[in-house]
Amino acid sequence: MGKDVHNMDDLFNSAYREFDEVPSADVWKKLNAGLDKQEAASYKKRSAGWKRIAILLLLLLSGLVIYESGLFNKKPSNNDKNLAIKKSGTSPTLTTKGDSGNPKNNPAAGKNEDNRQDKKTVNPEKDDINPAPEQRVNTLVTPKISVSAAEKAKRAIAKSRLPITNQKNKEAGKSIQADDMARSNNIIAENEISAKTKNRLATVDKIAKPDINAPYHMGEKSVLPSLSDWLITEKTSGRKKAIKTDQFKPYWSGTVIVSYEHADYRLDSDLPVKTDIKQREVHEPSVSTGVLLMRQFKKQWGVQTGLIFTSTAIAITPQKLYAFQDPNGNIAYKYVTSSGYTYIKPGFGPPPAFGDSMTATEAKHTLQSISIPLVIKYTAGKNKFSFTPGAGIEFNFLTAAKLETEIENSSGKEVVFINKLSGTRSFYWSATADAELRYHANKKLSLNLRPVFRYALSPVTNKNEVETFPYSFGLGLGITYKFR
Amino acid sequence: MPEIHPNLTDSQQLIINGCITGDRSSQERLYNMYANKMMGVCMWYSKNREEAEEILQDGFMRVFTYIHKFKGEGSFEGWIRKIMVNAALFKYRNKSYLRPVVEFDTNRHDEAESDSVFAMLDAKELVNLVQTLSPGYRMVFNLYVLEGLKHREIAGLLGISEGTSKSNLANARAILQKALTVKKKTAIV
Repeated sequence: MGKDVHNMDDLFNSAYREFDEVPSADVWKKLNAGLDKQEAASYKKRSAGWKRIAILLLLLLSGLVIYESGLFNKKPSNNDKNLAIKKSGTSPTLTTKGDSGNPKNNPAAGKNEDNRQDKKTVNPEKDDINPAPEQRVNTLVTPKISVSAAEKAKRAIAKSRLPITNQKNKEAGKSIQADDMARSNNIIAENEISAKTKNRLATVDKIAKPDINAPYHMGEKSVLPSLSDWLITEKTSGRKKAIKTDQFKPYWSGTVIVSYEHADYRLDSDLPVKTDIKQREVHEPSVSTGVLLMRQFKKQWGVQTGLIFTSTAIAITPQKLYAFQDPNGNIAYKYVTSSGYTYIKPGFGPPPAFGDSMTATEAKHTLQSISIPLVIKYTAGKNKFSFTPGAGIEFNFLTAAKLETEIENSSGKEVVFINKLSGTRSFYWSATADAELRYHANKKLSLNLRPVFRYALSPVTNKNEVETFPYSFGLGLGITYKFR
Repeated sequence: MPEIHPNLTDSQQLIINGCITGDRSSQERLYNMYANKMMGVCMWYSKNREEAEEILQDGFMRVFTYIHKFKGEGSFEGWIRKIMVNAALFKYRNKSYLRPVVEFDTNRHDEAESDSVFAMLDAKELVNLVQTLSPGYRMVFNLYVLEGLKHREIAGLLGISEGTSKSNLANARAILQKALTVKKKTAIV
């Protein structure tokens, strides 16, 4: 039994080592298809990285545009601050500066505004109220402040902090009065300071009667303008422009565009193949389409970005291909285009040898890319028409470099389809300029006629026999919608 | 940068480098070079030709995917053969064969087989015999007899106990011996 078992094992073992079987041709076909799928998945995976970068870039740009436009930066200027106080129709509350509004430093100020009315009434004699401009007030005051307290505060200010003599004060008071009279109809109609103010003390009197109903807020801080600010404002505001009622508000607009383009390229090479390629290849009209997003951050200035898909087709006249050794040591027919090359190994006839040639019939070469523009735009014009020229850069991601042709020799012929040429870059930069002419159908919608020019700043090829810098002139049509 | 393996011929090295870069013609050449041999391997681990071709296809996909991991230790053919066996094992595990195993009286042997009987059978017939075994028996028999693995290793690979592995091997041998006896009788008649 043991001997039999060993004999049997040896028999099977030797049969296993020497046994060959020819698989059917379908196995390689399926394997080939599986490898294609795997390659496509791998390409997709690689391009996913670029997509992420593009999205990140877009987000960063959007963030930058939003930041620059001041959408979330609503801090009013000092003028606005004073204006608000004036508009309140009552005297402002006493001044705080710096971190006095910080709840950590000023617990009273840090409390909820709704509770403000319940705050204690200031007793100037007990509480240390110093109405000097730089003084920080830790308590909120109510309008019920007594006249005597106001008087005391007024005197205290007059005596201690203000470096203005009585005479000067009187002059200043007159000046203020005159100024106030002049602009009272325009700006501070309700301000008690204006017409009735006789001198600086009168002004101080108003300050000493703080109005807690209208404290000025900057963020969470209760910011109270200083006396000096107040006076300066009083003196200078007359010279300043009146309140602008028609101030520009930044807004977004979106544009859908379709563009018909005439594409061409500049070839850079010392090799004679440069002339051959130029003669063989004829650009066909290309098409761009996409969505553009524009932030109008000033009345005349804006930034535009978005996504544009471009497809460029190039017809290639018939040519003779020659067999070369590819980088892997295989002999195959090399097909060179302006944006890349490929090695073609026909599925018929004997394997090619050095010097063999084969004819390729007319070919179609297609380049597809996705671009992210970043363009500064200037808007001019009024009423129904506006002219918006712009200039900037584009980040271009080449998504496909296809070639379709037919090869033939005495042994036979076959159609060749190459999805991704070698020697092509995935990314290149280009400069862009456009000049939009807009017809504003209504406040929201406008139609655009958009001549555009693009010029590649970096070549689309890498280790190809020529360096190719594509450029194009296009005329696009678009519809813009304003989001405001 | 593809590695250079001293054990390989220049043409093999060239093909491997081509496969690493994903060159389809290199892959085709590699396939043509080893397809017949590996189809033979797959036949031992499958119940029929169709299943063998499936294993072959999966195996070559793995070869092309992991060819960059070939370190040049041992022969390249041995490396591919191992991948094919692994592909067969993977298929076996995924299929989770639950077919009932016909019990066989392993003690009953009419007579000892002679060398001459074995010599009468060619490799193709032996493969066909092995293909008649149930997947569990076939797998244990192949791994033990053809690949030279120990029962402990087989148990680990197939997720069975060592005892089951031994039992499966004994049963597989008994089935094969019986089949060989039948063949002998047929041949004598």
